[in-house]
Amino acid sequence: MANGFFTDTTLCIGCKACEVACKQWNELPSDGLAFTGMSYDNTLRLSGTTWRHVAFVEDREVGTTIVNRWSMMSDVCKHCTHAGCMEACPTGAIIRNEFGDVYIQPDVCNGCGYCVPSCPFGVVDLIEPFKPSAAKAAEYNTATLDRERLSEGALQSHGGIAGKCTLCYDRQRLGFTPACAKACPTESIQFGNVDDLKARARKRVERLRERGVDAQLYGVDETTSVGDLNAFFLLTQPPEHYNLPARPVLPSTHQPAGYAAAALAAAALAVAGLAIFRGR
Amino acid sequence: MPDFPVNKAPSTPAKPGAAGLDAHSGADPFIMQLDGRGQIFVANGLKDGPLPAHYEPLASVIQNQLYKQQNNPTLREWDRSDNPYNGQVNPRYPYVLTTYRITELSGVYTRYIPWLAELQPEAFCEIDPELAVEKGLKNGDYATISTAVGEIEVRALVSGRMRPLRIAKGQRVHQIGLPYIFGNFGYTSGDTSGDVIPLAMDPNVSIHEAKTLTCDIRAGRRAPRGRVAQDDAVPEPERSRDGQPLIHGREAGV
Amino acid sequence: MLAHPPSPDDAFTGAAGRRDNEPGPSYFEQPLLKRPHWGWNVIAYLFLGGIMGGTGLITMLAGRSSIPADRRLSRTAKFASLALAAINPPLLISHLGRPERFLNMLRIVKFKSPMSLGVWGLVLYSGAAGGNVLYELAEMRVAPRWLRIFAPPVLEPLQALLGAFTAGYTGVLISATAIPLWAKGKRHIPALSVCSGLAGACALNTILAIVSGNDEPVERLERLEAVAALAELTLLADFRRHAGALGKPMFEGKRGRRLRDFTAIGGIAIPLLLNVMGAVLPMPKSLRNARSVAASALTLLGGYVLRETFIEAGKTSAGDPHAAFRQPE
Repeated sequence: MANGFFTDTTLCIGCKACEVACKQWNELPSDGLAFTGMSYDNTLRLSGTTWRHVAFVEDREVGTTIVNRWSMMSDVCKHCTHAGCMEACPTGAIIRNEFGDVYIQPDVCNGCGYCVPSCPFGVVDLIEPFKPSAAKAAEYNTATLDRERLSEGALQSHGGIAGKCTLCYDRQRLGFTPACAKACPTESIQFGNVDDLKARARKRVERLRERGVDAQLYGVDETTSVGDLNAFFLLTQPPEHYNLPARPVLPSTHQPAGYAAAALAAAALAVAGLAIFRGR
Repeated sequence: MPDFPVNKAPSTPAKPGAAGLDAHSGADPFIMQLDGRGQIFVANGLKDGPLPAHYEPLASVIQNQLYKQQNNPTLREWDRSDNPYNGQVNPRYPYVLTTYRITELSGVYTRYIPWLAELQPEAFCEIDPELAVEKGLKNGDYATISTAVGEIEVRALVSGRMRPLRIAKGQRVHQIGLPYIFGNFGYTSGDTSGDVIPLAMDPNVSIHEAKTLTCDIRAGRRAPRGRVAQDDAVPEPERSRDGQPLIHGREAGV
Repeated sequence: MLAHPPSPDDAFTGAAGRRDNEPGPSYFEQPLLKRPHWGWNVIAYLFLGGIMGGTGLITMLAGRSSIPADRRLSRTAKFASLALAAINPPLLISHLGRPERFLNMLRIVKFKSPMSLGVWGLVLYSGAAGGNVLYELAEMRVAPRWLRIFAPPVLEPLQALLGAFTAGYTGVLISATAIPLWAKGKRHIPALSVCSGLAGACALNTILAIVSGNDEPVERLERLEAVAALAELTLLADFRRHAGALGKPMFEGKRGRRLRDFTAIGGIAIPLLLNVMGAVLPMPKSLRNARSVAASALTLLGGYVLRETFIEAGKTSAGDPHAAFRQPE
């Protein structure tokens, strides 16, 4: 009983309205300017201040340089059923809210950064601390939304802590649709109850396959330790093309073996120690 | 607009003396016309026409394959030293330059918005891999696009989505895509595409012929320009390789 | 200059560098995972945390010995562990994005989070170490006698247990992540942390013992250090085999050579050799002690380089999308 996203990449036109709507609603600064040369994607990846990222995959015909397919996919936090970031968080800042989504409470997070390597999808990251420089501020004589001039409240409260998609928790509480889904002109990003979305997605996959499109759902009926994703995708290419792991692993599953190994090592060394330092 | 009563068979004859749709036969579906027949019409007062004909743009890489007349003879041109044209089929400019807009930016207002600027941070052109290799360009390198008007530097986006065209007796033509939404001001800026596009206009509504022209491209950044004052300092027209002045406009001949 | 006639493929190298002939296509070879923001202060904490934990074990082992010099060592170790317990929290706090909110770590105890357990482990260890120090101060007649309720039979094993946890959890912290190199070492890394922590603790306490004029227990410390160091070397070698291709960022190139030189050779093999020399060859006391200090210093350096290599190699591992496509179970 969770709310989530169904992102149907067959409908995505690569307009990036989702990226911009997200940044505007959440008052996030730009990540800086860098021409990447990677198709039309100059954003490259999700970050602490980019919570939607449109990937542009140019598929080449084998052995040639001819691109015969250009696919776009709007990447986002997956709001996993078993969330690595949430399990790693030592302050309890990362919670599952009443809509079933994974949310970072910005007033609790102290920026320890342990959630960052704990996400199997590489979504969450820390936001750089807010350090305004007078020189930069003087460069612009218009009220830009640059990092230095952004509404101080927004960036000061965000700087130094972890940031990721909130599934527009604040909008949902008001009964609104998340900003990206609202802005998407083709309804590629669909928002709603996850079970309803899954039913819709399964039908869509069937219909696409009838038409000969190799469609698959990513994040539905998964058997991994991460489980199903509340923000799931319909993909037409293998997940690796979009930099998605085929089989993500929930990092906390590594712990039992780790503690056992540490305990064994400690016990063995303690025994050696007891033999060396003979007791009274 | 074609439309017709659902039950009317195409073989139905027109009823003589009838009113309304019965006056049309079943094979006359254009019910908005008196006789039910389709019409081609042209607005009155066009300087060219009435029927459209295929003309090559003012600068092209091939001869007009349909007519001896290369370009639209009523095209508005300005034969001035500060508005040099490439010439109709000039081997000096062997590539097709096509301009278009992009989703993320649309001019100076949008370039001041960092959320949009970061989506397309630099002026770029799109070229196909073969042309890139030919010119020694790698993806992301600076390239200089030049026409008779001037030259601009842009980043080269080498992409397999661009392919050379095969046209007219096996002639292989490379096209270069140039988004024309950058300019000097803004959070992101870049060379203005208008700096390589001469002024030529459609005879009827004066639409600038900026969508398709010819150009040359080379690897590397352009020579630095000094600050150009508003009304003086006309760009130096380029000389052709043998030092002769370049042919302009209608003097180009076929 | 290209050796072969230029093909259109060559135009794709450069800024984007996407190559379709590499095994397993990725998204423009961009990193899939995010690299942790762990710098010198976290590396230092992992290093000192391991030593702090090992010192806790030494406190107990030496404390229950029949030899008075060993019990003197235990006293020194108790002070040392409290000092380390005082240094470690500032190190951790300094790496937070919002240091002023460090107390938020104490809002909850999350058993699924090694970082949460580690913070609590550090707090509890500090408590145990503090109790031990208060007992010693009472014994030394510097503090009131009633503080002797923090009796060794209870507090020393407690500190040893918490110490073992502190030394081991730092390894679990690293391996319970999505970083492929670290996840692959889910057994090796925690065990390595324990062994390295104890070896470093023996080294530190050797130096402290010699400096405080109590060099009698040094031979026993060195024996224990040898056991821990050999275990460490074995585990490291086995991890290299187990990690396979994923181990490249750690075992090859400049970093691999650094690990070999400073940890395997300089941090383990040479101190072992020096310890054996000390055990086998007769030498004057000053030379013996100098040898001990040198060996210990090398061990400590090797331990630091080990942690540093793990962290830096992990960051590299995070940058390789191909490693992340098949995440180690």
